[in-house]
Amino acid sequence: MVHSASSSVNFFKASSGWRSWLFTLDHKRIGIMYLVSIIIAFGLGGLFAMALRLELLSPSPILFSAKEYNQLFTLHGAIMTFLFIIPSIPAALGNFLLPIMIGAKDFAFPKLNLASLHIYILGSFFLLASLFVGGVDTGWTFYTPYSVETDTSTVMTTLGVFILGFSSILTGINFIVTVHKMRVPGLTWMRLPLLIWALYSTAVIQVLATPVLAITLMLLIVERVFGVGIFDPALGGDPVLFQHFFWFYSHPAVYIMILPAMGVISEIVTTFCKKNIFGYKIMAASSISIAVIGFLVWGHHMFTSQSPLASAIFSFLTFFVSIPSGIKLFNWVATMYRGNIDLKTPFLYFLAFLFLFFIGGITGVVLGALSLNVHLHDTYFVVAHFHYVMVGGTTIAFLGGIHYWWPKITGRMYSETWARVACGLIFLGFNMVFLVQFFMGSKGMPRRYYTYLDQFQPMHAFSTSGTWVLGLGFILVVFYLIDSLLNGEQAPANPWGGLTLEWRAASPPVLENFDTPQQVTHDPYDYENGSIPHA
Amino acid sequence: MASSHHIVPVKALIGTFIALLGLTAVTVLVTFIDLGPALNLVLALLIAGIKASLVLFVFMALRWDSGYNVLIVLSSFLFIALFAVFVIADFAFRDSIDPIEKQTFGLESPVKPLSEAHPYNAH
Amino acid sequence: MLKSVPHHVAHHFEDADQEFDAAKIGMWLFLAQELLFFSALFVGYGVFRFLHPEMFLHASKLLSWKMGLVNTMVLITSSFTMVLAVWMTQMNRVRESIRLLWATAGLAMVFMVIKYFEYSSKIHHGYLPGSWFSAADAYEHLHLFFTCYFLITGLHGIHVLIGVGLILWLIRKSKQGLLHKDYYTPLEMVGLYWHLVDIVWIFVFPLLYLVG
Ligand code: HEM
Ligand SMILES: [Cu+2]
Repeated sequence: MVHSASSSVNFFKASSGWRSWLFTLDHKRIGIMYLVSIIIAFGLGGLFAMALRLELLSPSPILFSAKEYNQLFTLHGAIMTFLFIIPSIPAALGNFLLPIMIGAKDFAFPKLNLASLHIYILGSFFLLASLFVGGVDTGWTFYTPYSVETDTSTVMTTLGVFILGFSSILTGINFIVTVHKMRVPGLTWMRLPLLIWALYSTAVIQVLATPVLAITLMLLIVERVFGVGIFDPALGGDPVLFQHFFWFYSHPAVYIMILPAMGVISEIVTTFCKKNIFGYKIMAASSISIAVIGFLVWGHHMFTSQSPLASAIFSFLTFFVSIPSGIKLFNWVATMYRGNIDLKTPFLYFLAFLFLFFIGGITGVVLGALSLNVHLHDTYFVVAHFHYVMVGGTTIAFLGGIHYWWPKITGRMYSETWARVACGLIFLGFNMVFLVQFFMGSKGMPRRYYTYLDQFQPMHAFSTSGTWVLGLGFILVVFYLIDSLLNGEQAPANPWGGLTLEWRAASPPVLENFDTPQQVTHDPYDYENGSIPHA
Repeated sequence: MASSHHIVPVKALIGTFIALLGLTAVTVLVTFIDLGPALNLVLALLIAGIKASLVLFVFMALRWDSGYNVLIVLSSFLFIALFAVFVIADFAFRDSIDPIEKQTFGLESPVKPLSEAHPYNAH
Repeated sequence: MLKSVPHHVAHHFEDADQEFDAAKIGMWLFLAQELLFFSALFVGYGVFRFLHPEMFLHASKLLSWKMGLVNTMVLITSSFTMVLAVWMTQMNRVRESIRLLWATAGLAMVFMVIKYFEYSSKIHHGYLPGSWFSAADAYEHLHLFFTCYFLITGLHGIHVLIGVGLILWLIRKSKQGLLHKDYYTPLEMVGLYWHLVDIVWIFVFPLLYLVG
């Protein structure tokens, strides 16, 4: 069995063969398999996005028919949401890092962890299979009644998402239990790294919200297959009920996407400023309160479909959810003040995140204002908003995290120069694609449209050209990271001078993470009293 | 944390069992007293809530369990309650529109009750 | 006395207590997840009952509250036998525990048999969900009640069947001597699951069978 191997070899070398990966119980290998899977998903979703933008270069048809276009944006959205963003930081980086950062040998339930990976793979097969059995053209939100009536394969796709949901739930349960029960001596709650707080809050949402998505999609399947009438107005059912069910999960789900990113950002800013985080307690508390308040605002996606009173209440509540996010933003900025700033690639991603998430968050507040929303709903303004948070926020933080922990995970360094170039390209390309979409949206360009009025063409063309810059940036990342795997120089245990526990482990870590039992005696970012571990 | 291996005394188990059966009888009996639909529903939910708490706190030993596990259960019930209240409230106010808008613009609600929008077709 | 086999703590835990506490938090989280899984069905029920209160009053009379009452008693009793089974194992009386587990599984099957009769009578009269509804009784929107009825009791029934499977698995484990006073985590966890299934039914009974 795995645990009888000598513990001082690194986990890559501990055993070999595909079985030793696919049936491993080692959280680090599971994390890496998640990482590979989500990167593949991201590549696929990215290709769809490039194709979509290419089609929008001109209002007349270029590559696809209108129906194909609808199928493409649906799959793009479904893949990016359910196969990439939701598992990105928690399931890939979190799986690898969480036990190490709390000094544990593994998660509380390693088998459950493996099961969640297998369920993820199974679910993605279903989701992707819909490509070959007719596609789906409902949009990633699967709104009824269209999703019940369309002749495309809604059932296959929603079944995939249904299955994926359980993977997310199991991961969440495992995270919570592990944080509660597996911390090393001395690691009190108030000494937890902020990434752990963020993953913990995320896990709470995963456990409490995801089952509602599961039942909703199951009801959709039952409705479509058996016609039970619950969402069907012809039978007295109500399609808006579906929207309520869907957003009861999917608004909290946007915090599943952003909370872990906020955690990563807190880790990066402290390490590269060599400074304690500003307001540790409020940072931890705001993660939890985002998770809780996030449950009370789902109706802001339904301002045009629900009753006026409900809209007013949800609009009011929506403003509260931005407060904890705002606090975080101020605290990151304050942390930089008089810090010993080191402009390495992860820190560049931190800066990019700060700008982009700020824009994304602020436009969220704009959309939360009922009177404005009625005009901006279902326009490119919304598209730009959520891409600023999901790509500008989560994906940028994910990239920052990849660069930050790459030496730890792989034991290799990457080319700093190329990494900076790529970060610049991504930042530039991203803004080219999405900034203009705010303007288009506010001028009334509706989302999910195959064609548009001529006056929008310059902006659409500019946006499309941005995707090439953005794409180039991502390709560059892939190249120099592969190069780092093959030729990169050996990474030390603590290349950046971080203080949290993972920097005490070898790079890459040994099989059960540490050779000697660990103990924690100081706060996670206490650069004044804590000694920076070296190896 | 409270001791994890608490053995619940059998007497408590038997007492709870009897109470559950008794409360079940009460639920049935109160339906035969007409208190008006709202009150009947509230009463039914109240009794069900008591029964559920008995099962949770005695059979499932939550009373002797760690506070965190209690918190998990309470928060899931809380979120379910919020879920239900908000959704039903939305349906309750479907055909109302903002009184100010109504006066100023003489608007009618764009959302019609389902029965008007889709006249029911008998099978 | 069955011979008991000592339990080995998984190597990534410090001791048995840590392992047990972890399992327990995990189980409660799973149960919370179950509650929310059911929640949407209850919310849907609430909406339709709110929209059509008279119809629900009428519809609920079409269900047999007597069968519902018997089933409620059966399920509560099975919860009781379950909790006694755990208690017996805690006292190291494994044989009694196994008998009580059989009783629990048996009661669960009684529940399902009664459900079967209820279902067949509804199907026979055409009291079916949505577009399948074919009963002579043409009360407006009546089929929506049966949509709620079949979805909620159906999902609950699936949980009962899963519970029976789990109880049979426990019986096997107990016979092998794997569950005893020093280690009974699986028994306690399945017990928690079983009580949750009972709790769901505690709400289903008045909401579906006793509307007024
Ligand atoms: C500062 C907090 C935020 C506020 C106040 C906010 C507000 C809103 C509002 C009001 C809408 C509805 C727009 C409409 O459809 O008319 C919306 C849409 C959306 N938001 Fe946010 N948002 C916030 C943060 C986020 C974050 C962090 C994410 C994801 C990481 C996110 C992802 C989305 C998505 C995906 C949609 C569009 C869903 C769709 O219709 O397809 N938002 N947001
Ligand atoms: Cu939202």
